[in-house]
Amino acid sequence: MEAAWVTTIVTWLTMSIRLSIPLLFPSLGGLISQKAGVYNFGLEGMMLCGAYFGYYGSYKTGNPWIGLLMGMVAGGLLGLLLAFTSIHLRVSQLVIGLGIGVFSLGLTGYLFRLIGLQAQNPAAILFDKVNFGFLRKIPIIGEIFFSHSWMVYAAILLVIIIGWFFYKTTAGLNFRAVGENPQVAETAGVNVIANRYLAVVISGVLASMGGAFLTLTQTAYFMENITAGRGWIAISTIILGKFNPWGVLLACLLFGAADAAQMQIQVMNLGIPYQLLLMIPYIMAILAMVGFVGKVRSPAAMGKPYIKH
Amino acid sequence: MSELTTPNALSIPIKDRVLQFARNNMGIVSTLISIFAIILALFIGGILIALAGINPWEAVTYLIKGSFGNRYGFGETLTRFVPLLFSSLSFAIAHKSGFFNVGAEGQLLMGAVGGVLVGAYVTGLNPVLHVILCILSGVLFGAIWAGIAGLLKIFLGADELINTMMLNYVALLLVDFLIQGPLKSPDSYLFVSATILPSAKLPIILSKTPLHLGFIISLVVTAAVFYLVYRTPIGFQMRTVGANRKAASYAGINIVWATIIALITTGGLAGMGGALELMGAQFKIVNGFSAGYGYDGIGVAVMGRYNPIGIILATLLFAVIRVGMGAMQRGAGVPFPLLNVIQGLIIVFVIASGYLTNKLSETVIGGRA
Repeated sequence: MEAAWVTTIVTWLTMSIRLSIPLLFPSLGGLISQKAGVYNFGLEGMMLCGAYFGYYGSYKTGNPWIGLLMGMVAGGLLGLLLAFTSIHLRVSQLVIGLGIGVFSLGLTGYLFRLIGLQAQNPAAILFDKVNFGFLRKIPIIGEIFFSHSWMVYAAILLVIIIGWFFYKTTAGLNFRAVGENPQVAETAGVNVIANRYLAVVISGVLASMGGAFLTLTQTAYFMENITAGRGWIAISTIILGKFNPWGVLLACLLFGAADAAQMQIQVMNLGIPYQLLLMIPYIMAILAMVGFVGKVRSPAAMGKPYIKH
Repeated sequence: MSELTTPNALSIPIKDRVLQFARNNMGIVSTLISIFAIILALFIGGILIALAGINPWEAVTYLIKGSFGNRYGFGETLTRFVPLLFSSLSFAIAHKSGFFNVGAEGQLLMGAVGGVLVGAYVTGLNPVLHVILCILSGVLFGAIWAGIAGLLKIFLGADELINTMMLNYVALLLVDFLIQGPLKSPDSYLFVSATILPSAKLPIILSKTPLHLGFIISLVVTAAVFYLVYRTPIGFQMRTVGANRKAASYAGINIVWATIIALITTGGLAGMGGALELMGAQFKIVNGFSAGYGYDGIGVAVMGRYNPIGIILATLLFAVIRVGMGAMQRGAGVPFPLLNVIQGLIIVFVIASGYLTNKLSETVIGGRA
């Protein structure tokens, strides 16, 4: 009896980590973009393209690395589009993000249906889990921490790198200055435009990795709208994480834990309608927005186009 | 003497004259840009069709024949027009009032729920009364759904963009739950809601087609809404709040009140769209009832540049594309999601072209708005 409880909790914790990752990638992407002063509302679309092209590359070549690369290129290109329109043309960052979302939903659905017409079993090759050897055999700890795909560890490594970059390097300080006060940053010799371009393109690449994580480590298949709003939830985890990469990691773990819990409750068959359980992440995102907006200071120049004089 | 005469037209460089003309005729310029954006989007769509190994010209024939080449297709296009128009009005009015409502999809669904509750479960009413109550119930449900995000914004400062988007997903799941449980039709093995009573159905206005009275209602409502926004004091207040919150506050405008009216309008419109779609076209809620009208509305509003004539024309175009895509899928095997590709491209091109019009009018806007 006790063993069953332990198994449940271990499974829950393992799943919490696993389910937080597809949220962590786009959240970090959105964070980088917002720190440099540009809203990325195209995260959802970029994730979808990452998920589809990741899947497609792996399915066609049998190599998930090529898939991941294709997904990242697709996300980067969408990032470039967002960067060009919002930084250069200075048009509405919200509407362009929505446009990217609609476009990506259509493109991935269109291409996937074309494959579906031809192929018998269009499964992609997944990434193998990392082989940790004896570490994996440690009871409980091994299962929770050492049973994942490399992308999980890569995402956590990214948190460390981004945290170090933002708060411990001169380049990171300049980068944040671009989002806080671009005029002053430019006067101090920082290239505002270049920093913003770089931020938005990286943001697109990271978001697409979140999507590729779904198809290349979890499902092996693409489904239309597979990301189910994670690109939008990511924007609320950034606020919940107070614009700090470590905070964002915690926020994503919280969402992952909730998602894992609702999935386990579904399996337990307690008679709660599954639709109500599936609502939990979305309602949490709303609560996060309600509880933290106003108490969190966002980068001062966020969403404001920069005009060089 | 010569200094006082206006310069000879020929002495001004051609480029400046073109610019001058463009500045004086921004309406024509933006219309031309929109048309160019559509052509470009359709052209890219054509390339995607060709890549799939399908003859794009054959596909286009299906698109035209299916959407307005015959009586039924024409009626169907105008039927799809109705929910599209309502969701784009919803986005446009919110936008004018400084409120980003990307939740028309959810509000439309909730409006349909409101419609089913009155349409299927309230009995013994005369048809006119039943139809009116049904519509009002849809408006109420849509307004409540938008109101959740709206009140969170007004009183707690929570960002409405994410919240309205999240509420779309919640509404979708809630409706799914309702049609599998409380509102499930007892007569069906499928997951569908109860069907509304005949007295709540809207009459067909063009025989041998699905075109229903909702079409006329939608045009009347559009006129009424733009009257409200442009010709009434509260409309003026809403627009002022939308244009500049601080200035509105200094001018003594009651921002909370203006925002609440904007919310009721924006949510109510989407809800009404859902109710009319239910009462005129589908009669019950099935899985996939809304089929993305709420998101299409954003593209329509952007393309129609938030003005009534523009929105009606853009809605018509999107309805033609939507119905035409269905015919293309059936006839030429072109997957339906191409619809979203084209709509997404139209949004991107039209909004990006805003740069040109801004340049011309020598103003710079931007940021989130």
